[in-house]
Amino acid sequence: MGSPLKKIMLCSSEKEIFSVEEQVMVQHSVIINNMIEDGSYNYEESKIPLDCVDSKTLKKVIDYCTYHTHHHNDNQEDLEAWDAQFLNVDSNGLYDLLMAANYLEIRNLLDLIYRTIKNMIKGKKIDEIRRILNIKDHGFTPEEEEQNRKEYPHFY
Amino acid sequence: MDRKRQKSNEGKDIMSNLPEQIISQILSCLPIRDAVRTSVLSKTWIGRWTCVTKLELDDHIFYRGKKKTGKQHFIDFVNRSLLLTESSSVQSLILVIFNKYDPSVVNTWMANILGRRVKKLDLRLDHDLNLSALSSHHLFMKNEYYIEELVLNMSRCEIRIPTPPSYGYFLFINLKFLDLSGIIFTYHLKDVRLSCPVLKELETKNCYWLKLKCVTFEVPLLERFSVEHGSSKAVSGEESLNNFAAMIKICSSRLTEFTWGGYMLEDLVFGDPSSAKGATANIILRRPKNVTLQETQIRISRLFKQFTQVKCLNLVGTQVLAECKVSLTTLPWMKMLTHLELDLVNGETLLGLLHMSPVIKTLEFKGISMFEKEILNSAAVPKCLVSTVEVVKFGRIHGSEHELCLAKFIVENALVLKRMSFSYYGWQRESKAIEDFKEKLFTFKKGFKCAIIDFHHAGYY
Repeated sequence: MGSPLKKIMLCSSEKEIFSVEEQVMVQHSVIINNMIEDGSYNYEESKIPLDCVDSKTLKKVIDYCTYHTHHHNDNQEDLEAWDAQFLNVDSNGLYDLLMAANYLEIRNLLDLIYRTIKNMIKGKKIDEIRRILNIKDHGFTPEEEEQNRKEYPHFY
Repeated sequence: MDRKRQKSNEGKDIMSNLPEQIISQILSCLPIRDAVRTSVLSKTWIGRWTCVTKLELDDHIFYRGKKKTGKQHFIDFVNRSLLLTESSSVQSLILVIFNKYDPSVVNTWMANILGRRVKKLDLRLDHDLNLSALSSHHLFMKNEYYIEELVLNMSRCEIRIPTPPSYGYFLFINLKFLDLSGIIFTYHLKDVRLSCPVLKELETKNCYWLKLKCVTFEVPLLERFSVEHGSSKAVSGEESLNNFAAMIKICSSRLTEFTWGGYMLEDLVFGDPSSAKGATANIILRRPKNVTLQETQIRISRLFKQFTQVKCLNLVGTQVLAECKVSLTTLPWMKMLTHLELDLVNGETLLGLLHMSPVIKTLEFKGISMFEKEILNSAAVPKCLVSTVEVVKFGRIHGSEHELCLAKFIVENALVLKRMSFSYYGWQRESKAIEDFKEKLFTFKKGFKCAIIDFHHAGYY
């Protein structure tokens, strides 16, 4: 009601500008919330520079925050399904999202990614985890690797 | 699928460039065994698991299918976990011990854990333990600034409280949640004071404070507490009341709900008489063993003095009042009580309680036991029945004569009644007794103008 929704500007590493409802980011990002609260953001002129977040990732982060702002009353199952679809990205995408969520301090997105990575590792054998995490060079000499396999056979 | 795999093959090693703090968060989500396993993933991973923020050591999982080797595995595992994890990073620590270990081993773990300065501690032991002096010292002296949530869930654990710091009491500055069970505290002084300026919830179950005069909780923000003695198994043979603390004193101005249950070993005292103002009290009375009738009466009367300002009272064990011939008229009035809930109660006790409570709106009881019907004829009608009682819930009726008598008394005298509910066991759904009860009930002269009267069956047990 009343005043139109306030917007804020976010600027990606490629200097692309994204205009987002203030509430959406304030609710999710601790960093942006702090900037708005302490008055360091000027609605007329400021853009928030996010030099370490590329456009593709920033767009996804905004999608996440927007969806969760407008659908926070949905039932848990629907939200989880949406989250699972949202995180159906390759490992590069996951890495970028994780770094962005960490930078912007988006608690629930971070937790979601932590849980996702946890599930990628949990209960798996070492060779499988290496494949999932793309660990191509483990850095152990063949002798060390052999030694580990002997010492902790149940890990492998 | 193929495309996905191809894509991820092109990807980079997602975890190798992440900040250590993020890695430690992810590893902390994993069961510790999975976290430890990552140490052989690659050279960068060798020591990462030692920075977990959460450590959960539970011996249940070590015994699945391998009863014999489980014990030694668990001991090795706990030792390694405690020795190798960074003290500064572990913020939450859970130790669950179901099987029996050498007490000196467990005490070494305890001393280490209690001295680590973690924020959240949850220790559960299924066997008896006398906490070593070092562990006790750590528990009371090393957690002053750090601990936020503390759960000590013991089967039977003796803890000797150490000498307090020079200011004379024990301080837990950030403690918000405290849950103690199965602990026997001993102390070489007469009074012990625990100051927890931000504590919100306090729970003690089967905890005993031996030979103390007063245990004081200075907890200005406390909202809920529960002190219960379910069994005195832990201290069998020491049942003489002289062995227990004389009183437990709670100093809070924010109480919303409290539970006090058991053999009245200690007296409950509030720091300020208005502490319980507007609160809900759940009281479970059990008759103390080896105590004279007179002493029990005195204890009950001291307990009821604490209820003068409570808003809701759930009282279980009213038969203790009857058995011990407590004269309800001598107890202080519950001037603010609007909701009274009782278990099986007899007519005399019910009337007595109503006389003590002039402003009750809702009255609920789980059943009425036999009583002398004559008392209803001679008794003065309680003030609340005439002027404030709006809802009466009559639990588990059988359709007996004395139930009917009491219902009649209420129907005739409750002038502002709005609703009266009766429940009965499921197997009585179509019984003649209930039908007769209904029929008779509707013939009584009603004191109220208009009220809903309903019957429903409340399960089979």
